[in-house]
Amino acid sequence: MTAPCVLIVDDDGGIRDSLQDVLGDAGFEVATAENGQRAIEWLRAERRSCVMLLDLMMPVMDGFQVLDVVLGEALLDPGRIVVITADRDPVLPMGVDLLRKPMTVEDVVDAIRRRAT
Amino acid sequence: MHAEPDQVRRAEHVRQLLQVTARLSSAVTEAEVVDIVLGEGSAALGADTGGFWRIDGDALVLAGTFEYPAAPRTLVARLPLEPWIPIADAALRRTSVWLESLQDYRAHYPRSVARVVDHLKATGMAVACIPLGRDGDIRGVLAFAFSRSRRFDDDERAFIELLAQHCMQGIERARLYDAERGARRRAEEGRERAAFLAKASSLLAGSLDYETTLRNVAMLAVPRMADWCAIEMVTGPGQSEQVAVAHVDPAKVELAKELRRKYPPDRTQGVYEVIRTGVAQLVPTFTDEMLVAAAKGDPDRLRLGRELSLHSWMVVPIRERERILGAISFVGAESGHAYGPEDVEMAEQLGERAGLAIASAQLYQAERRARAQLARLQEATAAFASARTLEDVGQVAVGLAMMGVLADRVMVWRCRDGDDALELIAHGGVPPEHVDAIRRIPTDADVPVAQVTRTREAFFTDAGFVPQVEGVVAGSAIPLTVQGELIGVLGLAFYQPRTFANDERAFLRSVADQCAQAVDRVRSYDEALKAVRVRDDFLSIAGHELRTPLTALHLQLGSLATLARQDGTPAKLGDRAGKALSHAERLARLVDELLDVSRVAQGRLTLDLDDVDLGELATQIVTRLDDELRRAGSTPQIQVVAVRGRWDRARLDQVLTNLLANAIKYGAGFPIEITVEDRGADAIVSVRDHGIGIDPEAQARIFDRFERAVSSRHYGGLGLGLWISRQIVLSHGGSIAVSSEAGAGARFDVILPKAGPT
Repeated sequence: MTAPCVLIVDDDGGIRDSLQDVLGDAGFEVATAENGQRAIEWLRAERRSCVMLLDLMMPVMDGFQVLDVVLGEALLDPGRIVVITADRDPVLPMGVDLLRKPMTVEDVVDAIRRRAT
Repeated sequence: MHAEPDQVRRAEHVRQLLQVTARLSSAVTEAEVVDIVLGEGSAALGADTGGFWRIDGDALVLAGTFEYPAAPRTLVARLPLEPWIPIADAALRRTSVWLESLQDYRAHYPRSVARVVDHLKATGMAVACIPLGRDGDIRGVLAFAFSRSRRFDDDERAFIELLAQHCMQGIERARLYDAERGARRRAEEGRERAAFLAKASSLLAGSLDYETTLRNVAMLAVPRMADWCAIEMVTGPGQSEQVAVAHVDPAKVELAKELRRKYPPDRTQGVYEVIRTGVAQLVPTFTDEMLVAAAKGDPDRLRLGRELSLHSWMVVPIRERERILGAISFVGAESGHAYGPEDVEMAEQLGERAGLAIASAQLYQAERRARAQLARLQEATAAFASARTLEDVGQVAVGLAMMGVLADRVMVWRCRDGDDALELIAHGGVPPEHVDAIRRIPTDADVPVAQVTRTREAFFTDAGFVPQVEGVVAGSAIPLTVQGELIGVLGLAFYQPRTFANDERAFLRSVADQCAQAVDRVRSYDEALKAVRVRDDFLSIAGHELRTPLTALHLQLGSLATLARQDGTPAKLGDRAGKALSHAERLARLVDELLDVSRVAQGRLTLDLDDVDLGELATQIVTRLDDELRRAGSTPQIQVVAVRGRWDRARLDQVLTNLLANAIKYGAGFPIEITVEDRGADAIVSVRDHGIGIDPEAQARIFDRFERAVSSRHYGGLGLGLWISRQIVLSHGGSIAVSSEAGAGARFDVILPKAGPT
């Protein structure tokens, strides 16, 4: 069984690094994008199924815009997207999961495992 | 032989004289006296006709006749007082003229005979003319005519002259009686006037609403004193207004109004002149010539004037000492009321009493107005206090000024920092098309509202006010100041000229003061609100910003702890990583609290409602906090039942965690009781500790933001937990209460309706 691929989309380098460390330790193959535009470019280019950890507040293209494009172009199934936010009550498309900052290592790993199967 | 008939005739004459005397005693007018004398005298003398002429200037006027033929009567109706006429001659010479035959007549009065021969033929051949007089003052001539010549012997002459004397006395008595009756009538009129004056005075004295009273006085004057009565009152400098008109015939009032409307009265004359000079005017008798002159050649005006059938007129001032307050006009018309100096005197007294009554009524009204204004100011204080915006404050001031002094327009402007113009914040009564023109008024403009920003003195229209706005003839501008700082201007405008009584000035100043303070308060309130908004925005941004590195820190510490559990790593490392992680979690909770504050303040606290079992939730939280309870040395005592309701699980978790954390913080070392009860429609969860407790004074404010019951030096936290908990409970439609005594622990009860928020 190949390790599931995780795409981390966050404009904050600290978060990207930390998530990369935690998920790498947990055995996931990890890719990162510092904004929505990059994430979409990566998804279009790679054309492989992965779990996307998506921050909502980002410059250039925010999380909501990314969701519109990703779901619109069917680049990913909504069941493979986990939104990370400090905001408590964002309105999200059906099937998209939510992790609130600050989250524990276990929270993140569990969420990815559930989505990756 | 002759003696006997003489005696008989003399006795007969005496009897006749007595009869005349008796009859004359009941005669009350000159005409009656003359009738009796002529009738009895003619009978006694056997005269065919008789007549009485009264002296009227240089003529004799026929004033009474007995059996006098019609044709000659017109001939002798008026005779010149000249000696060629025997009747006139008798009067001139003050002696009786006896003409016993036509020859006798012809011999003494040839000129007369030539003219009156036919007359003589018709009235008689013998004539006796006896002057009537007293103390040489001849009043008239009594004449008897006989159709045949005859002699007048001494007895007859004496009898006739006695008869004439009786006649004279009768006439005198009638005149005296007439004079007396006139005096009585005048006395009666005087009494009536006095009664009117008394009645009017009592009406005036008892009155506090003088306009109504003046109307009553006018009504009272009609019809006893006048056919109509009108009252004009001074309303301002050079201004007056008709306040009452009464007329016996209401149709005439309409007619007078029509005349007044079509032909406005000349304001230099009549009533206006009386008001200006304070001198009464009297026109005893109106003549048609006066009407013609007044009509100035306008036939319609003349017709209306004539229809009013004016007869007599007087106008008197209503005065209070030297002050002329108005004028009362009395007009006699159809009834023939005619006024003389006594009437003017009476009316002037009425005018003075009315003046006195009005002055005291005005005093009373001023006092009543002051009382009403005081009440209004008290209401105003409340209205100003509840005004939340500048516009509200302005509108309260506008309403007050309009009601309090009946201003036609009221405007409130404010000054803005660094702006040299006034900015309109509220207005009332200003025509919409005029609003733009007054929206901004430069403070150096040459208008009162701008002037007061420089003088800082209230302005009231007095001398020298030049109206700048069409129709506005009076006004006021009052600066709004707070502790010497000018913050705006209150402006009032009136369409009628008016002065401002002292109490009105005080009232307006008071409105301005309150308005200024309210403006200042609202301004401070706005600033405070703005500061709160800025703080909440800052909290929101700061919270979000803190979370990101906190999340990274959390993840790194988590991964460190995981790595530390791998084989070959010192045990201590895992322990330290776990401690570091719990500190990061506490830091995260504090940041969460800050974010919740800004969320509630911005109205963004939304609930994610679900089916929640409160008993189960409470148990979970106690289990989760097990480590902390143990560290604090507090044993949890749980007594819960399953109670389900529609609530936000995460938010209630937050509330209970907070209450429990507080219990651990302030009740360390003592047991902590947690109960959940089912109370029908509600669920109640209680958390009780046995720690330091909360003193009563602090209980009232522990639910406020950034409050805590004890010094922050000893116990940490932002002081936000209970405030947020209360906001969450309130948003569920529930309530939270504390009961505690210092030193005896505290108990928090949260009541939640099972149905969730409504």
